Parts: sequence; structure tokens; C-alpha cells
Amino acid sequence: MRMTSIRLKLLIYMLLVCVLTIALLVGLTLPGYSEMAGQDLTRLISLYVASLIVLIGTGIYLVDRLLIKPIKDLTVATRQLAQGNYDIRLPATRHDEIGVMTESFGILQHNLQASLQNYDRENNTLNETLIKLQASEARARGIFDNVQDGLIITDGLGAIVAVNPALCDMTGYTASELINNNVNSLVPEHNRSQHQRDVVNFALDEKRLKRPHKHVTALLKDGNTIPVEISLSQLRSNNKLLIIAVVHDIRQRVQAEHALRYERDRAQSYLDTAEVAIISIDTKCLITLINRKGCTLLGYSEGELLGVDYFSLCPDQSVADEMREAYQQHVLNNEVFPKYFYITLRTRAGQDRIFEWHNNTVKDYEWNTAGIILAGVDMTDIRKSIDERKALRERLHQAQKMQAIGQLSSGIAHDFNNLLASIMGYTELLQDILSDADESVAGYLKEIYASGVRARDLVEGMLQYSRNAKKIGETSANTLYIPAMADDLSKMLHNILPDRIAVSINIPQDAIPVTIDSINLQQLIINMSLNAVDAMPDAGNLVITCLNDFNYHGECTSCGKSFNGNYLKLAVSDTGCGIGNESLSRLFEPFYTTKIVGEAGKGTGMGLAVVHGIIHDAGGHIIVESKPGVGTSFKVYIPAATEQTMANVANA
Amino acid sequence: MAKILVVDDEQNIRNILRESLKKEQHEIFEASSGQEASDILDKHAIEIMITDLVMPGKTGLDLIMEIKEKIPELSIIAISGGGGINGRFDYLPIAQLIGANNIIRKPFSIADIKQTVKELLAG
Repeated sequence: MRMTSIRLKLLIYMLLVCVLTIALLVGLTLPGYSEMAGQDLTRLISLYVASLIVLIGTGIYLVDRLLIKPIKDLTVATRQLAQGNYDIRLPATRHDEIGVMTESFGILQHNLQASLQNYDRENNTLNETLIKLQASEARARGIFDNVQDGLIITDGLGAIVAVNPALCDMTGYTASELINNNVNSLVPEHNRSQHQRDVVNFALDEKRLKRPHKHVTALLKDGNTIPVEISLSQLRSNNKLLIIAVVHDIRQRVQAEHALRYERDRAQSYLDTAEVAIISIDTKCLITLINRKGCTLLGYSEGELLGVDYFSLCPDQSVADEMREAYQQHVLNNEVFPKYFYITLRTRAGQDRIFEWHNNTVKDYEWNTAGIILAGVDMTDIRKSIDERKALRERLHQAQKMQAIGQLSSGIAHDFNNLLASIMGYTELLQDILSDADESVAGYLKEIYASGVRARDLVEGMLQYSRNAKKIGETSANTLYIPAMADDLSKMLHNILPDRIAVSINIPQDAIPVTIDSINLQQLIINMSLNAVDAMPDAGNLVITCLNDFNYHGECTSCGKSFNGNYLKLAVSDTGCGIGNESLSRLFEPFYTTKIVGEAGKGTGMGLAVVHGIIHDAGGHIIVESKPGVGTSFKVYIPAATEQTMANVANA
Repeated sequence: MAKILVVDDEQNIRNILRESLKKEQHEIFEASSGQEASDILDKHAIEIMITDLVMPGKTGLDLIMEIKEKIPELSIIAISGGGGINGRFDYLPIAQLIGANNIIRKPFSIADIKQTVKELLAG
């Protein structure tokens, strides 16, 4: 917009005043003017004066309107601005210099107001930052002052810059006593040189100190020392290195550790004093604790056993797996695990030892099974002693029984056989006399005679048994080559045994000579064969075999003893009804029979007792294997003849 | 037919042997002890002696040893129910060792006795 300046306005105004003045002066000089009457002249002069007054008034008005008032308004606005009133508004309605000035003032006022507002905002931000900073510093100070651990801030050389109240409480020093002193004043004399090196090393490179968290001893103001744990860190402030040390008083912890160690040592001493093996295993069957006795019994060091699978010490893999499975079920499903059990463990020396264990389940804080503690005793020797005593008792019992049978049979055999001879003899006489009697009488006489035969067999069995019993401990020098008697044996068995039994004899020519009486051997085979026949009431197969068995190791079914050596194994096997476990253990007892007592030709209960006597008299043993419904095999182990006994026979 | 001496302290045994062998037409003499048997042997030409071994007084073994020296040709059948002194020995094998031609264990069957007698007489 083009503005009209005040100068132009005043120029126009002055021009109007000049025109008017000139017009007045020209009028006065005009010819008619002099002719005017006084009244007209006065009127004209008055007109001029009035015009002049109007012009002057107009001039004054214009000056006031155009100059004085805007300047006055601007002055007032400037004063208010100076007084801080930035909200004043001067309308820029004019287009002259005053308008420009007013507009410029407005812009100035606006800019000033904007700057002030910007300043206020910045000032507010600054204030907020300052407040936060102050709060942060207050918090830091609060932490520094109230933290439970002692804090020391030193420079790179160890000069103390600041300490917190906790450190003062801990050491007994005031802050002023410590600040500016070297931190070495808090270290016992004997540790100071090392500590100073640590400080310098840490200052140079915090990684140089291998253990920034370390247990050290702090020297207190009263001269006492306490254990502390310090942790160090570096801080850079204004490009200046500071070291912050957090000092934790660990007196209680150390005391607790000492107490714990004391209790542990005491518990360990109890464990080590115990004369039983004590083993703790975790949920994975791993050994977590073992006492000295346990190590001694197993022959390992504690270190060798810790972490080892307990059940892996059991040499029998199947037993180990079974026990491990039962233990896992106990841990996982809370199933019952035996509180008391025997298990054989193999020592480092390779010996198998029988342990009797009692155990208790260990629960964790959530009452879950965390493992078990086992207390065990090596029962190997005791068990062996018990077994030996048991075997001895059994042998004594057997010997007593045999002695009683021997005495009884020897004592009564003669008289008894005489009585039997009378019974059987008179029966035969009667049979002869009453040969024409009716069948029932003949049948009765036949039964009387058959009973006599059974009674005779019984007495004969008792006599044989007692004879063999008496020979126990004596050696027989008879050396026998069984293949040489195979034919006779075969004939004898075919004569004795019923036709329903298929007999098969397989005696190889390379069977070794054995030490046994031939009559006794025959009796042994007959007795076992008759026993087999009784087990096959309808039909069946009887197989007699021989086999050399060198360095054989086994356990006798009859006497229960382990035996080993060179034997000829004579096996008498049948396809009969078999023998139950209960009968198996009593098979060789005199008078023990499962047969129907009194049945013709059966049930004296002496047949296998005689076998027992004969084979043990010969220094051999017998093993019985039987499966009910399938058959039984009597394996007689006859000792191989020694070179000496064979030489004796050759010389004879 | 032969003269047979039956020696046994048991009357029943003597009765049975007597009755059995009489049926075979033999002449039977009886003695209840070793001494009585010796007396009969001195008086009669006995061909076969069937003797028990365990008897009070002179035992069958004593009798066999004595007679075998005096009458070596006498056939002797030793019979015994076993037992023996304190049960330690079986007398029958011993009897065989000292001269008994045959041994038969009591209780015997009459058929065995008859058969043995028959065999001895047949030589």
C-alpha cells in the first residue's frame, strides 16, 4: 500500500494557507476595495480573520491529529512495554510514518514478547533440570549417606576423597579424620604394601586386579581388625580418576561360616567315627557324601566315589538295574523303596562284599524326595559265618540223623530181618500149602509177602545208608573206568526197569577214570533210575550220560557246599513229572518221600539218601535240576581219579 | 536127598527151613546155637549146613571157621539179617571170606534157599 506522508499533508495545508493569504492581499488591492464602505470593509476583514482563524485551527488540529497524538500513544505504549506489559496492542491504521512507526513498534513488541516467552520456556526447562539434578544429587547423597555398606571414594593414589557414615560407623573414624588420608590407614600394617600395589594396579587398569571382590582385613580406629569384603570400581569425574570401594562387613557371615564349618566338621567327625558305612545319594543315584568307613570298606578315596552312580558299584547288572528302577520310582512317584536291603558291591580290589543297608529318605524344603542316606554294614564275613554255621548245623543234623539211622538200623536190622524172614517164610509155606485155595486167600498171602519185601528193602536201604555214613571222611581207593562197565550197566537197567521206560545210555570212551566203588556206583545208578521211573508212571525216557568236567565249579544240591575240581559228570535224566522247589531241598533227607507210602515197590524214602551217602563218601557231589512237568536231571559229580590212585590200581 | 543142618537161634527160621526143605525130601537137623551145631556135626554126616551168623555164644562165624578146618567138604550156606557187632560190619561177606559157599541175606525167599541147596548138591 502506498502511504501518504505527513510532510505532504502539511505541505498541502501550508499551500492552502498561502493561497488564502494571497487571495486576501489581492482582494485588498483590487479597485473595488477602496470603494468599499466602512461596513463592507469591516465585514470583509472579519471574513478574512475568520478564515484565518479557521485555517490556524485546522492547522492546530492537523498537527495534533497527525503528530502529537500518535507520538503520545507510542510513548504510552513504550512506557507500558518498559513496565513489562507485553500485551498492549497499537493498531496500525495509518499509512504514514506514524503508521510505519506504530507497525514497527508492534513488530518489536511481538518479537520481544516471543523472545520473552521463549526465554521463559528455556528458563522453565532449566529450572526443571536443575530440580531434577538437585533431586538426583539428593538421592545419591541419601544413598551414599544411608547405604548399609561402607563407601570410600579415593583418588588414583588412594587418597580418600569421601566416606559415608556407614564406613565411619564401621571403622570408628569420623569423615574428617579419614578424608585426605590414604586408604592404607584402614589396612593392617602387614598388608599395606600389597594393598598399595593393588590400588595402583586397579587405578592403572581395573582388569589388572584379578579379584575385584575380595576378602580383606580392615583396621579399625581402636586397633581391632574385622573381615570385610570389598568391591572396587572406577569412576571418571571431570577427567579425574576416582576409585569407589564398597566395604561390606562380613563378620556375621564369617562367624556363620565358622559355625557352619564347625558343625560340618563335627558332623563329619561323627560320620567318620561311625563304624558303619554312611552314603548319601541324590535323586540321580549319585553319591553326594560318604564317610571314612564307607571309603575303607569299598577301597576307594572319597574323591573317587563322590559323583559316582551308587548302583554302578553292584557287580550284578540286573540287580543294579532293578534297584535303580525302584529308587527312581521312589524319587519320582513316591513309591516304596525298601528301608532295609542287602546288596553286593564290588570293591576297588575287585572283591564282592555283601552289605546290609538301612536307609532314610531325605526331603527338600518343598517336601520332595531329594535323595536317601544309607547306613550299611559289611555282612560278608558275618553272612559267611552264618552260612557256615548253618551248613555246619545242617551237617551236624544230618550226621546225627545218619548216626541215629545207623544205630537204629544196625541195632534192629538183625532182629527185624529175622522177623521178616519168619513172616515171609511162613507166607511162602502157606502159599505152598494153600496153592489150591481160592484166589482171595492167595491174594492176601501175596500181599503179606510183598509187604515183607518192602520192609526188607527199607531195612537194606537203612543199612546201606548207615554204612556209607560211617565211611564219610574215609577215602576210597577204588578207581573205576565206567565205559568198561557200560554194557553190564545197560543189561542191569533193562532187567530192572519196566518196559514202559525207554532207556538210553551214552558213556563215551574218553570218560576219565573216577574214584568210586563199583558196587556203590551201581547202587547209585539204580536208585536214581528207580526214582526216575517212579516219576514216569505211564511212560518216558531215561537217559544216562557221562561227560568229563574239568575245573568245574558248582554248589551241591544235597549238602549245599560249593565244590570245584575235575569230575566225571554222570547224569540220570528223565522226562517225568519233575520236582517242586520245596521237595528239591529235602530230596536227600532219609525217609523223605513224595511217593505213596505203602504202595508196592515205592516210598521207602531211602533211595536218594543212599545216593547222597554214596556220592559224598566218594568225595563227589550232586546237582539236581528239575522243571515240573518237564523232567528232572540228577547230575552226579564223581571225582576224577588221581594219578596216585590209578598207579595203585595198576600195581595191584 | 541130603542131610542138612539148620542152625539158627530163631525157632521160626528153623521151622520154615525145615518145612521147606523136608518137602524136597531132605533130612533136616536143627541146632539153636553154634555149640549145638558142633555136636550134631560130630555125630552126623551132614552135607549142607545152613547157619545164621549172629547167635548167642558161639557165633555162626566161629562155627564156620571151626567146621571148615574139621570138615572142609561141608557145604555152608550163611544166612544173616545183617547188623553185626555194634553195626560196624556186615557179617555175610566175612562169612564168605572164611569159607561159606553161599550167603543169603534175611529175609530170604524159600525159592532162593531151595535153589542154592540144589546147586550145592549138584556140585
